[in-house]
Amino acid sequence: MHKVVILGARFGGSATAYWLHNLFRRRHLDITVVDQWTMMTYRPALVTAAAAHPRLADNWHIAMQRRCEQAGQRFVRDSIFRIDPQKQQVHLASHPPLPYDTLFVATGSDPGWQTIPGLGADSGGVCEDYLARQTGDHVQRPFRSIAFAIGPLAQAPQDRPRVSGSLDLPAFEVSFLLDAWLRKQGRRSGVTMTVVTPAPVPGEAFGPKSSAFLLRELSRRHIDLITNARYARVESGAIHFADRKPLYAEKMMWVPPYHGSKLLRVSGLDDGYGWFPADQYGVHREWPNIYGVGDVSSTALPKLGHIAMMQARTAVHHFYALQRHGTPTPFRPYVLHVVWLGRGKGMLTMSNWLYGGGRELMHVGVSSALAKAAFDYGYKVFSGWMPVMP
Amino acid sequence: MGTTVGIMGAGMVAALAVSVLIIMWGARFLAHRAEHLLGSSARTSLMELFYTLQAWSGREIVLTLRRAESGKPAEHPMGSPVASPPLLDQVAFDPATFLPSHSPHTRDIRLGTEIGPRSPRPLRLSLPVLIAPMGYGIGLSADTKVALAQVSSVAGSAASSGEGPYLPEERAYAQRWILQWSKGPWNHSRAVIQLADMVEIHLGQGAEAEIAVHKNRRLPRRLNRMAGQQSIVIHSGIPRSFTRLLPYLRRVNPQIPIGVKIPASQHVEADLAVLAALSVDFITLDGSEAGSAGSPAVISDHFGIPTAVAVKRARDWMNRHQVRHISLIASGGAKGAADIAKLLALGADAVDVGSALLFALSHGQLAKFVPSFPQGPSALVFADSKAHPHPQLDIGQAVLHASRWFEATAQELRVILQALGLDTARDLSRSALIARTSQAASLLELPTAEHPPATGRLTQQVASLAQEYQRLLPSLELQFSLLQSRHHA
Ligand SMILES: Cc1cc2nc3c(=O)[nH]c(=O)nc-3n(C[C@H](O)[C@H](O)[C@H](O)COP(=O)(O)OP(=O)(O)OC[C@H]3O[C@@H](n4cnc5c(N)ncnc54)[C@H](O)[C@@H]3O)c2cc1C
Repeated sequence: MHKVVILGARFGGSATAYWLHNLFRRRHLDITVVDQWTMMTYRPALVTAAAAHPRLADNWHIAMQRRCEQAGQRFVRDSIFRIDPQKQQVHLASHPPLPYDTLFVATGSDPGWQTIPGLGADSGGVCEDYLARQTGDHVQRPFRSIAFAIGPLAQAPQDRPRVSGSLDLPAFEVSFLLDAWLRKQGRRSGVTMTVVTPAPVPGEAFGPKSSAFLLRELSRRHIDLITNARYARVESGAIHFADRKPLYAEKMMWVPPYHGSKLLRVSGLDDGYGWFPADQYGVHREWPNIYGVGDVSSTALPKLGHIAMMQARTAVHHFYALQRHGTPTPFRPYVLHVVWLGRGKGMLTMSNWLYGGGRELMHVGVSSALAKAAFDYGYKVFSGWMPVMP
Repeated sequence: MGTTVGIMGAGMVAALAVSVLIIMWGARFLAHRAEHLLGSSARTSLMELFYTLQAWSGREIVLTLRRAESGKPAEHPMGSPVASPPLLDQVAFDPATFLPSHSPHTRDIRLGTEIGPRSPRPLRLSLPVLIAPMGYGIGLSADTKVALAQVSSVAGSAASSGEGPYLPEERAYAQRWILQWSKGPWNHSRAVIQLADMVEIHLGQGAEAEIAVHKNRRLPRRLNRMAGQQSIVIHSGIPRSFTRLLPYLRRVNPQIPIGVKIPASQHVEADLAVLAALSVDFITLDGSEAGSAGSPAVISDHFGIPTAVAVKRARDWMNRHQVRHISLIASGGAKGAADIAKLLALGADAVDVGSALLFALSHGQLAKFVPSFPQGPSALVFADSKAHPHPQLDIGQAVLHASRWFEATAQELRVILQALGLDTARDLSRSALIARTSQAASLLELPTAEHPPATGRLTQQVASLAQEYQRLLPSLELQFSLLQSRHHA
């Protein structure tokens, strides 16, 4: 039987497992999924936890091991240590090496806390359950100022399109949600809020309409914005920049810098900058039996779950086409996202502007928020394997 | 109608009068019996309890009964009393007034420290507190380990594997992860060593000395599977390959600090001489107060020297032999910021905290035990087999409480430093301490209130000169070595 190994079991890995299950018969493939967590943390929901609802951080765990095992796939809970592409083996911390014929890598980007001096997970964050819970707990207590800072994305210089920030949307979402919550508590006037982004505009991957709306919304809600940020160092209560005065903030919430994957670096599989060098089907540029899916891939821009799911679809269909001598379809990216605005509203953007397509559809209202809530709950209820997949 | 009310009223008054009489008679009867009891022979009455409790501690009685029940060495968790009051409580701080004059009472007080300064990637901590090694499965449950790993990251501290097997979630959550290289059957693969941010070779600990530990009861099933056997043995003594182990670990992961944990013994100086010759990056001294999930009471309650004494003697030895590159970690008995600061002042670079964190983790969840579960509250955090049902730890709540404990501890450390007129935790020194008892004075060589330290201006100046010199020395050495290398070039 053809041995397929999937590394990572969040948006990218889970969707890969879904498509393999969907396209192939069970007896054709021997599928193993590896992740250090048996439960997937559904990260889009963490922004609500960080906005003063810490207990929500523990409501968004999805039993991925059970999901895969129900479909007859094997799940290994371990740390992935190294990939040996020559021997076609994955080395794990506490299991024997795992052989593969085809490998799907969906291990995301490591947080680059150490890339800015003084920055660490203890500076405040939102990207994992424990960080969002901690931020949510801190902002419930009295404070006078908060910075929502977005780390840079360390892309390879030749990569196109260019994106400056690791992921800007969670920072804007938490700022809007917290603004709404503080207003409800009657505490907003005593708090200064600032979003700091390395990008020239908010919502850099969306397009001009969405960016203009976000700018208006920030100013309407008296949330300050610092763009083109170049970080020098961070200390408790202050962010220092290379080219401007420091920002003093009692509390901070960081989306950390994204600087690729240590796993790819130690395995010699990265593009020199920690990213998976993928072609338009997600295939590794040197190793045709290795696919890269989601945040880990140099072509996943912006680093969104929706993009990871679409890449999983493209990669598995390519693999399927190879097996069946069919013609695969390349990855045609577009951004589909809803930014929570608070008070039951959202901003929906569907756009291919970043890739030079020039189309951008934007809608603000309750229906956008409802669409996001429906997707989130659907994802949770179906453990990521939804009846209709992007 | 009126007559009925009248009769009821009279009845109630009579009943009240009878009850008062009964109570009075009862009280007198009891007083009489008590008097009789006090005067009767202790050999034939309940009064023997009085004498038993005078001679025996509650701890010894419970341990004796346990031995009678099981026929095995009695064990208990949660540390051992070494001195009464505990040695660290016999020490106070000396508040800054006009002295030390050079330091204003500062607002920006830094707590950060690093372990293994000589290694290419020292372990950097936001405060000089480490989460004590407590192994998954043989000590703590997986949920507790996961909670502690999360806490370590939000607090800027580090989590440690302890002697238990590898737990992927712990590594994933902990920004800084210490591998404890145990003499057990796991965690020896190159991959695990390379995933670590620091390795601590576990030669022994305060509660167990260096005896072998056999575990076969109440283990999670996953543990037996990982060990490939039903009973788990952590071997005794110093492994024969110990001297080769250190260079091997360094070869596999050359970036990180590598050190050793030993129980604090009366010959601590000799132990330090051996370890310093091996060029370890840090030494953890586990004092006799140190707890565990359950160790033979004959060891944990009757072996070793107190943590504070071990740290003081170790730092003295290191100063005498000019060993500046080895970090010293104090472990055992630290309950909070005051204890931590005192251990730092006695010479530690960082302090392990275990039991206090387990209390903090369980806060707000103990009511779950009432009324349906007969176990002690530690069942919430300790590992157990699925066969023994007990309440589940709410990880989210546990992490919030334990990280608040860290926040409070950091603030308390800053308050202590402020009151001492110091800018950083590294400035803490023995001159900040006063002994409250003669025991502490003699064990820790500290001045007591009745014997003021030399107060003459000259001695004061000499003391501060010596302190300045100590601070200056590393940079002078660095300059000297730079000059030398340039000279050679
Ligand atoms: C706060 C926040 C909000 C977001 N909101 C949205 C949103 O609203 N919409 C949207 O589309 N996207 C959103 N995103 C982005 C989205 O979450 C990511 O794009 C998505 O998680 C990427 O999925 P992935 O599978 O590529 O990688 P990841 O989510 O990073 O998953 C990688 C998996 O691999 C495992 N792994 C990695 N290395 C190892 C190893 N060495 N050993 C074992 N296991 C390993 C990890 O445990 C993890 O489970 C948000 C992200 C954040 C942080």
